[in-house]
Amino acid sequence: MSRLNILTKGFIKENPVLIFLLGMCPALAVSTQVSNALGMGAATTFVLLGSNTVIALLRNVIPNKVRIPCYIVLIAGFVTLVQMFTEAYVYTLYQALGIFLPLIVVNCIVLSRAEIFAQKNTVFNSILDAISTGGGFTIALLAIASIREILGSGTWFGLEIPVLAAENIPIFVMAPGGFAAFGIIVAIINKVSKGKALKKKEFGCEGCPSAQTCVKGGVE
Amino acid sequence: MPILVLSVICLIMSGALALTNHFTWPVVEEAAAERAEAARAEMIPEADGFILLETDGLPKTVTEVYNTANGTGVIFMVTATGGYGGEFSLIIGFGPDGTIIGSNVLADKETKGFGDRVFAAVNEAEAKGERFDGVAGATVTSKAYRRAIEDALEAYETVKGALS
Repeated sequence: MSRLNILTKGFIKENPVLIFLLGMCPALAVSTQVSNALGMGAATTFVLLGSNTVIALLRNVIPNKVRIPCYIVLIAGFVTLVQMFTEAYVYTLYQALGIFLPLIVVNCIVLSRAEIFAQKNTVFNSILDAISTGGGFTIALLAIASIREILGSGTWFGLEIPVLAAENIPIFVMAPGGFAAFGIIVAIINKVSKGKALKKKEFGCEGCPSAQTCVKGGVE
Repeated sequence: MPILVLSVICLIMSGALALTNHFTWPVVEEAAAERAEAARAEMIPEADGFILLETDGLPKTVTEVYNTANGTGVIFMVTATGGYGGEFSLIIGFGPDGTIIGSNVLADKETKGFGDRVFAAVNEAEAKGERFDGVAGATVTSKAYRRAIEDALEAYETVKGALS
């Protein structure tokens, strides 16, 4: 895989939220406003950068048996760092993200990049992968948040949109609207790619990182 | 060997966090003090300045008492204990006649969307001048809030004589 490919694949082609359907909890919960979506995307990208770099650095040191606890400790550490910095310097964002900021620890995107990519690739490639995945997560959040904020509140990034501000659809700001906006985007991607985006071979059992130890994956 | 690696990673990460906290905590504290000052000004807008009162014999939860320079009220900074997320800090304002003007939350760790509904409900009841018992599904937070208000009332009785 070329480096350019690693850097760009996460944005659209292997988007963690819209194609892999990972990290949907923060994607739906924090996407009521574009500004919050951007903050969440930035926080997650920072955690990804930190965890991917350190895990790639330590990939020959961390014993296979305790790799998951090691990853979780590292990820939790970086999340707490982000939390401390946002509380000190971006307090409004800290309040807006609320419980979802500490919950980045259990965001499956971060752990999946550690398990699928960082533990068997060089530090430089892992950094590219973190930028790519974090960027893709941010793009997805911005897309969902744009739909929800424009239709639900009639604003975009806090700026009022003339006609829509008076005729908004409040359900888009609530949870059902989040699912609707998310579903619409995934449906469009499926239509445009004629269903290929979600049916690639490497997303099946063969491409799973646990295929070698899994019964279903088959190591005959 | 695996245990050793995991322990070392834990140690290094805790060290890094302690170091970061050492630098960010003063900033957090300072910002909180500024917000508290702004909250006091918001509580009693007519006040022309707040004087910190040094009084003994207050309930332990009442951390600071501020008298207003022009006698437009008293403000109590109270740390409510026994909430669902531990402690949360409140600002409670009294008018010159000893009635509660209002109360606001400064910082809390109550569950978002559950415990913190109490705060909005209290503010709504205060604005309408209604009686407030509690919020169903958030009993622990409601009770902690009520105890904080009771402590403030007790503190008011203590400092009443010292007010000019």
